[in-house]
Amino acid sequence: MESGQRIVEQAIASYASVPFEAKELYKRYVINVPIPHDSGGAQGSGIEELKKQIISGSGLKFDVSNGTGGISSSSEFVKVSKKNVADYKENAEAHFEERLGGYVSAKSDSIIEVTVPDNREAKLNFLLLEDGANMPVEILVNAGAGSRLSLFEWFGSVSESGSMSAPLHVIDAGVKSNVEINVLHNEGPKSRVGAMNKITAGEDSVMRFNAIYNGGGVTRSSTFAEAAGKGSDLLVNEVVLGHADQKFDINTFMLNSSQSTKAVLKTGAVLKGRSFCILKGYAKVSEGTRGSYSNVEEKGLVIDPDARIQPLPDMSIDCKDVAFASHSASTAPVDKEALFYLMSRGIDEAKAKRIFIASFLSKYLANIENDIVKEIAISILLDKLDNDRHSGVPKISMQNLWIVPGKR
Amino acid sequence: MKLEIKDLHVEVEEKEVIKGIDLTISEGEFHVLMGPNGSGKTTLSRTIMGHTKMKVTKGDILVDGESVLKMSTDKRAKLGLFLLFQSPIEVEGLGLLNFLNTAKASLQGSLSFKDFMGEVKDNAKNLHIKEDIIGRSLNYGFSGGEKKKVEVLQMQVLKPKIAILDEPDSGLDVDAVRVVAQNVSEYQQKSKAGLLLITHYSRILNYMKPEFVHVMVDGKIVKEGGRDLADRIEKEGYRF
Repeated sequence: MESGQRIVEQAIASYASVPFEAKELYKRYVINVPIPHDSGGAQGSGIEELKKQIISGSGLKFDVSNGTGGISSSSEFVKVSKKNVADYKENAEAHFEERLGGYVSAKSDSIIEVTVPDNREAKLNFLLLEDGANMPVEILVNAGAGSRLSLFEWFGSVSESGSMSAPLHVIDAGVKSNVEINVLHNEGPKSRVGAMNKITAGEDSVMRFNAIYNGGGVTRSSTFAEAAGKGSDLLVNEVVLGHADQKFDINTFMLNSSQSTKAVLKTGAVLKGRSFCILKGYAKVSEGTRGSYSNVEEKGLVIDPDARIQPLPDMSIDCKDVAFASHSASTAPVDKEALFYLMSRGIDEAKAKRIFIASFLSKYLANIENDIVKEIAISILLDKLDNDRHSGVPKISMQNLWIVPGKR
Repeated sequence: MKLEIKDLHVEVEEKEVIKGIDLTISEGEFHVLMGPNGSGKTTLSRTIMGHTKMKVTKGDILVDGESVLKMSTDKRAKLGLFLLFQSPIEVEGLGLLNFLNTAKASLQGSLSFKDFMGEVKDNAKNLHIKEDIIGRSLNYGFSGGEKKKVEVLQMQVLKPKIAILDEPDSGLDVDAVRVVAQNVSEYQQKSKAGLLLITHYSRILNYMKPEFVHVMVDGKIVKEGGRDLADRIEKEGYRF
């Protein structure tokens, strides 16, 4: 447990060097996510019903889930350790990640440790729900050399819950490992999300981190992803779908720190109603990383006139001999020429618009290797698009998977 | 089915581009529209399909005697009109098969997946479209030739009664022009569809048998004739 706590503390400390709070430009665009001070305590009974519905609707078996009695695991690869909660006093002067990390570290009463031994393979599903109580949780993932891991984490809340989901991930992909982590936040309109993800890709590893932010009221994520080992291949793929007054502040720092590494950030946001999203994608290519590849791409699709998106891609290249380095951003409404094209084939305007938006989302969902996750994600997102409401358990339909045109 | 264009005047961004055109195309007829760059050919094709940027200021477009000016683009498609785009839109994330299946269901009701796939595969083979293309996003990353062939594939699968083909030959190599021309001709002969083929070059007509050739200059049809008119333009240009 001590080692787990140390890993968390080191991860929180590492955020001191990332640019989210340091860059003048980024300081001007911040959505304040209030950090609670209390530990969540026991969840309300609503999560038991929601859990039943999700299990029945998705057909998934969850290896780790929480209930009114806390978090439990049924997998040989996952250890859930109880720990004592500590006092937490917020240092108002500290940067956001330090404050949020400090809160999670002090107030989570369990550490979830995923360990995949060398050359082993694991496929895991987590279901972590809130009903009324905050949920600070530390999740440590260690994929051994040559291992394969596919981990799906479904975070959700009952519709009226005003609590905060605050997962703190520390993910370490070992030498030649192949790791895909899919995190879905399907949150109610009043809930808050404060997510921290510290990701390290080891030598010759393939690391994929796919995050889907579907609500709640306010979301802030801070991801620090490092292609650390020579030849590592790292993708952070983020999807945001906002409606009503939802707000998102998505911070992602990509770092190439060894030779011949690949670090790619793709972020796509679809915004309806009066929703607002800030995308702060920053890539740094360190000195001495010859032959590295770095790309930051932020795209936004603004559906309604009052929705707003602020993409702020940025890059620092400290190596003269990179293979590729680029950053880009674009935001646009639904393309009228595309609608004309689709309608010229007999598809009515409303359906053409839906197809166009779904296609935008599909570009990002296509990066997910796990077909079941892809199916769940597209079903949830289309349900929100079609009905303009949050649904804890949307109808999962294979028909929707048809929209996603395949893998990368 | 009969498409009639009567004294059509069209403005685009407050500039008159089409300045009075009369043209009638019936099922089974093969018309060619030629003209220099900027003469209004593409504007005409987009106006027929109901693009909202094209403002009809005078005249009418009729299908079987009924005006379609107030109809949305999808309703015109449901009547049996089809536009092969000169520059097809790329939609990353939208699978070509999914799109085509949705379009076909919108126009003709549902079809069994097996029959649909059979139809797509047969036509794709005739068009020399590589198999991986049909599994990809709509036009995304396709070469110019692939895009044009996929447009023809859509026409074959969606089975319009009157098709307007806006430069299906531009940007194609000699072999691809022949393949496209043969497939379009075969479709027309089989379906008895009416065709309006817009082109700059008579090369594609070496593989086709048009009955009527119209020449459009500065928003008006200035000359009409048969196949020999296209040959004359190839030699002499648009000096009328």
